[in-house]
Amino acid sequence: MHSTLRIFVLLLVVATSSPLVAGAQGKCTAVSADCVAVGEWDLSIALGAGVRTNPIADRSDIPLFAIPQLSYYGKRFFIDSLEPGVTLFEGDANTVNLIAAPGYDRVFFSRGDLQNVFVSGPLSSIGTGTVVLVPPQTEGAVEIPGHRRHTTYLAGPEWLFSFGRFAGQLTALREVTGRHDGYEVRSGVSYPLIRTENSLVANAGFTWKSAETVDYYYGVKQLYRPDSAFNPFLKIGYSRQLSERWTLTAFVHYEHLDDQITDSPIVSKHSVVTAFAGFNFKVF
Amino acid sequence: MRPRVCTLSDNDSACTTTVRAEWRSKQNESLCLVIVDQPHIRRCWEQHSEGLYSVEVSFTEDLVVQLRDTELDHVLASQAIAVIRKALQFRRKRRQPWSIFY
Repeated sequence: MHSTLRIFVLLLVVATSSPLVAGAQGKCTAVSADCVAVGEWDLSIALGAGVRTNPIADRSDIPLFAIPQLSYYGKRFFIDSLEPGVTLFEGDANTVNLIAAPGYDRVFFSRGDLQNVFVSGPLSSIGTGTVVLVPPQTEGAVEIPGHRRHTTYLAGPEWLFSFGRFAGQLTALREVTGRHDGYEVRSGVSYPLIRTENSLVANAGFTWKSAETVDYYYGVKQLYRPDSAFNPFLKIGYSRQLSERWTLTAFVHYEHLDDQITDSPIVSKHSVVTAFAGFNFKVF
Repeated sequence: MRPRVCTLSDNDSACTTTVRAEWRSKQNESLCLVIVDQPHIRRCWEQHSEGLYSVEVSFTEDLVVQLRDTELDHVLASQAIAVIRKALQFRRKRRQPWSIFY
């Protein structure tokens, strides 16, 4: 087993067997921001305006207008938007799930990717792209054809934990759709800065992608073969409940891209910024 | 008698169902079927050895169905339909600090 996964499994064993991580949230007794009814579907949709910048050279930024969130929680099985999963263990301060999640980076190559939700303009798959080493019609110019980035799914264990007012997440995933067999580790911690009728939450974390994953999205055959990448991020999110169904919501998410990604000839930016402001409507 | 149990979920305010009551005796009887707390429901038989009665009823508590004499003074038999409220279970929502949108 990959050494990263071995470490993760060890962390899971520690998390579920020791009282080190404290800060129990208590049992759920009613529907709330943190609790859902078992066996019921929940659908919300955020309507507003936002953008996700695109680090790929000559690609336009991705506008955001509507962000749906559909979820179902059974006793153990759940679907959280595009991520199905099974809960293996649920305690007061620790939860261990097995989840499947889509590969994230495809959003920069295909407007039609579901993770871009609703976008303006015609949906298009910017599948291959080409890399030109020197300007066209220049002596010695070489065009190297790119490759199509397919939708991929990754699967693996996820540890959710709480400590005081901190909430944390550590997920180790392996690509299971046979496109690149790469790995990803996704981790984050959130802390509520304001918790009144206005809510302000700060998040920080990282995504680590194995060399296979980075190569699949940002590598260029015969020209650029990247190594693994470590991308930290920061996020701040605001919300204010206006009524039973309507909530004002806004967030800004900044992700710094590792040199292994930015050194790619198809990448022209060093970061990705996602920002959105709008109103969240609880459909049911 | 059918049904014997009515299950209410959190969204239901009352049980509404068709109650089917059947009685049988070795000799002819004159009796009435009544439902406690539902005085408008009464069905009587004069010198019958069996009877069948179906009626749609709405109720929120256990429903007691009785066979009484024609003067309604004495209870000859009694059965109840139990109302069981299904308790909703709750669990913690998945909080994902890593997630961009949620």
